[in-house]
Formats: sequence, structure tokens, C-alpha cells
Amino acid sequence: MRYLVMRTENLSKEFRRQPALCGVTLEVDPGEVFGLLGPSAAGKSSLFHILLDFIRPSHGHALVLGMDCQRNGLKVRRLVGYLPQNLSLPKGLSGRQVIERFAALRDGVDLNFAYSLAARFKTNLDVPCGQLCAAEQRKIGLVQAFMHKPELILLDEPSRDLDTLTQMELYHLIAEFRAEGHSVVIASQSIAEMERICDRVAVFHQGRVIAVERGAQLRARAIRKIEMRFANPVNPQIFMGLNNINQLVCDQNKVYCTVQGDPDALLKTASQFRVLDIISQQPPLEEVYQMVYGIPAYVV
Amino acid sequence: MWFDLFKDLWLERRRPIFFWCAAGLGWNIFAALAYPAVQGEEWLDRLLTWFALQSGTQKGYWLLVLMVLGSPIIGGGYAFLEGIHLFKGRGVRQMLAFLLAYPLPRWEVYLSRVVYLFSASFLLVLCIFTSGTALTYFSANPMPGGMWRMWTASILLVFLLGLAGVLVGNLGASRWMDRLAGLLVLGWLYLPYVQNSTAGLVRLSPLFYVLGETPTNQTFVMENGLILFLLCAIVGVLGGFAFERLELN
Repeated sequence: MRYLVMRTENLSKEFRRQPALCGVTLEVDPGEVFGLLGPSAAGKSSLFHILLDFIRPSHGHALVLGMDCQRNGLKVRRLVGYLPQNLSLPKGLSGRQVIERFAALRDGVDLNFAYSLAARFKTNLDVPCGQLCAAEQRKIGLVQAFMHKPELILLDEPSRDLDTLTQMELYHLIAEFRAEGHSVVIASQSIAEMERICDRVAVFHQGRVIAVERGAQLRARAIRKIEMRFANPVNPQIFMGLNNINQLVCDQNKVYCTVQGDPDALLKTASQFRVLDIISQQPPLEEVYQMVYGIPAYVV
Repeated sequence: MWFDLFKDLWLERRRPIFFWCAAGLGWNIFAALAYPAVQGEEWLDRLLTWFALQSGTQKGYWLLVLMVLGSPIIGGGYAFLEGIHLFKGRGVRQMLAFLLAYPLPRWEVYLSRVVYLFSASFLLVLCIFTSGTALTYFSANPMPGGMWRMWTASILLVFLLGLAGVLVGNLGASRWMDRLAGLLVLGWLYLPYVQNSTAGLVRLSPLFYVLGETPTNQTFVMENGLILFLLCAIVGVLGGFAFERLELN
């Protein structure tokens, strides 16, 4: 039988008769970076909470590292690293004290490794947590999630509040852990983040998994809003022939459109003219859900 | 580990306890200053009669100030609210979830919080008691040593109210429920006395197990203390059970 670091089968959870998770079945392989993509209240955090035994499922069951999350909650939590979505650190303790305190809760944590992680994230460990901004607190949260080199790391919105450099450092760290055979499950609302670091992504909508996509698939189907400014007015007919272009609007020397997947053809066509500026943006999650999965934006 | 959690709680929650200690001290000073003005007043005598306290005496007045009002209202109020605060609120639940993501049994987290609550309640009741005793020391009728035994029961009563707060903190769904629970606890303490202090109904109030049948004698029946202890144990276990089942979402 295949060893899985995480397996959920028909997992459901209701809060006051409101479904938070509906029949979620997922499998995460060792050494895999797995993404949970979805808007807020889609059920991503609830899944983490069941895996860590904060809440009990209404139906179905979940296994982490081959152990039942409810029956072997303590053993599971010993082997898992976790960064919560809303981090609340003890206000009176400094970052160093927090790391030491939490390291003591786990066996065999190499504090030097923890400090090296803090140095990578450029965290000031000597300031009381109550005086730290959300980004600094998040960095400490990341250090504590990785410091014991767990087999499985659960990260709930890990890059929230972080600056670009720290995000890059985090992605490097995740890649390093993945290379060493650790598994990482990331919940996020950012498609760009999912495309960038995940091997596979489960797309959540209202507590259900509506698709599980490979990272490459997600990249191939990625939607970008492109805005180009040319030196002279251009003929829109030239762009109309391109098959992955949608919502094309030409306004004298400006062209706006949506590209699904590879923008190569668009760029090659545009290069016939003198391009002054080009802006590429990822559309909001609602639009992606509508375009890719056919879910109306008002439902997301 | 629970001791570290206990220390962290003290570090984090030291300000409210200082505030409530100051409130207890202030109440005692106010009562001492107000005594000459209120002695012999009809409403005071009626109040003293309700609680089977000797009317017209300074001893009865101070028993009312410290045992009937000061300790249960200020001490119990603090303990009840702190008990709720230890388990309720967005930030607190997030902190609890963060702690429980570690290999910590829930009972250990619960125990650290309950021990903290007991120690804080103890400190507050001690503060009210020592300041009250000091104030009566300078009056013509100082508190006798027998009061200490009553104070032990008073600490248990305050802790019981704190544990009731813990239970509400774990079970309460809204702030209105908390307030309703607070009013119910207040009614549980005082309403049986409003009827008739000599009726059997007063045995329903936990305050009875602090004051006894004749509070002015300041005798303390061991059985009363045991009943309070038993009540603490029952409510504490119920709170622990509620925390064990608490969904931290």
C-alpha cells in the first residue's frame, strides 16, 4: 500500500448546520508541496484544524503520517509543523523566548537551526512579541513551524503580510525542505503563489474540492490581464486571430486583453510594433473561478 | 511544561489583577470612611439582618463589607470574568489553537489556566482581607483571628465563581450569554438570602458555606468548606470536560 503523509476520505464538517467541508478526499505524497487554493471560508483552514484535532469531523476520517488524527492527535502534532492563519504569540515574551519555549515543547529541536532560520528571515528576536508588527510575528511563526524539521508542514496563508524578499526566502526554504523529502501543505488565496511552488493544487469552493490540478497544469491555464501601450495606434484585427486571447479592447495606442496560458503568441504579435509599456496582472480569484471552472463570481 | 504556561499567563495577565487588587483596597477604604455616616441607618440594619449579621455593630458591618460584598463581588467578579477571558475571545482561542498545535495534552493547558486562576484569586482575596484587617485594626473593634478560617472558605468561593466563568468561557456562544450567566451567578449568591436568612433556602447559595448559620460568631464548619471544595471540583471537572470537547475553529 502506498505511504501517504496525508490522506482524507470523504471528510465533512458542519458548524451550526452550515457546511464548512463537504466530502473532501485528498492524498499527499511524501516530498510533495501540495496547495489548497480557495477564497476565504472555502474550508482550507477547517481542513487543517481537523488534521490537528482542533475540531472533529462530522463525517469521514483523516490520516496524517499513517495515523488517525483524532486517536493519535498527540503523536501527529509531534511530527507536524504548523503555521496558523491568524497567529497570536504571547505578548510578554521576546521572539527568542517564544522559540525557546516552543522548542522545549518538542523533543530534539536544534536551536542553532531555529536561529539560522530566524536569521534567514531577518527576524529581530530580542523584541517582545507584543511590539512586533504582523509580518515580524509571522516570521517567528514560520521559524517555529520549520525548526524541528517535521515530516509534514502545514502552512495557512504563509506569505500573508510578508514582504517580497521574505516571501522569496520562504519559497526557497520550502524548496529545500521538499528536496530533503519533507512534505508541505499550503493554504492560500494566491494563485501566483500556488503556481510558483506547488506540485499539485486542490481548488476549494464552498467546502468542496472542485479540482485537483498539477502545478504545471495550473501554470498552463493561468489567466493574466495584459495591458500594452504602443508608440502608435494599432489595428486590433491583428490580435483577434490569436486563440488564447479574450476580452480584447483597443483604445488607440493601448490594448487590453486577457490571456489564458502561454502569452508567447501575443508578445510575438505585439513585437511587430514599437511597445512602450507592458503590464501583466493576475486577475482576482473570483474571475479565475468564473473563467476556468465556470463558477459565477457572485457565488465565490 | 504547564508551569511555563502558568508563568506566561502571569506575565500576560498581571495588569488586570493589579487593577482588581486596587479596586478591593479602594472598596475597603471607602467602607471605612463611610461607616460613621451609615451606621444606624435602617437600610444597613435590614441588609445585615438579611445575612444574619449582628446589626448595629462594627463587627457585623465589616463582615458585610468583606465577606458578603467585598470578597464575592470584587473577588468573584474578577475570577468570573477572568475565567471567561482565559478561554473565550478571538485572540485567546487563536493562542489556544497555536499551543495545541504542539504535542501538549489539552488537560495540561487547562490545568495551567486553572492553577493560574486559583493563584490570582488567592492573591486578590488576600489583598482584600489584609487591607480590610489592617483598616479594622485601627478601629475600636479589630477582626479576631477566627476570621482566617472564614477567609479560606471565601477563597474557595471566589475560585468557584472563577471556575463557573471557565465553564461559561468554554460553553458560552455570545456575550449576551456571558452576561446572562453572570446575572444567574449573582442571583445564585444573593437571592436565597433575600427571602429569609434562616430558611433552608439559603443553603442553595454558596455564600452560606462561607458565612455559616451564625456568621457573627465567625466559626467555620469544616463540612461547609468540604462542600465548597466539592463544588469547585465538580465545576472544575465540567469545565475541563467542556475544554476537552471545545472546537477551536
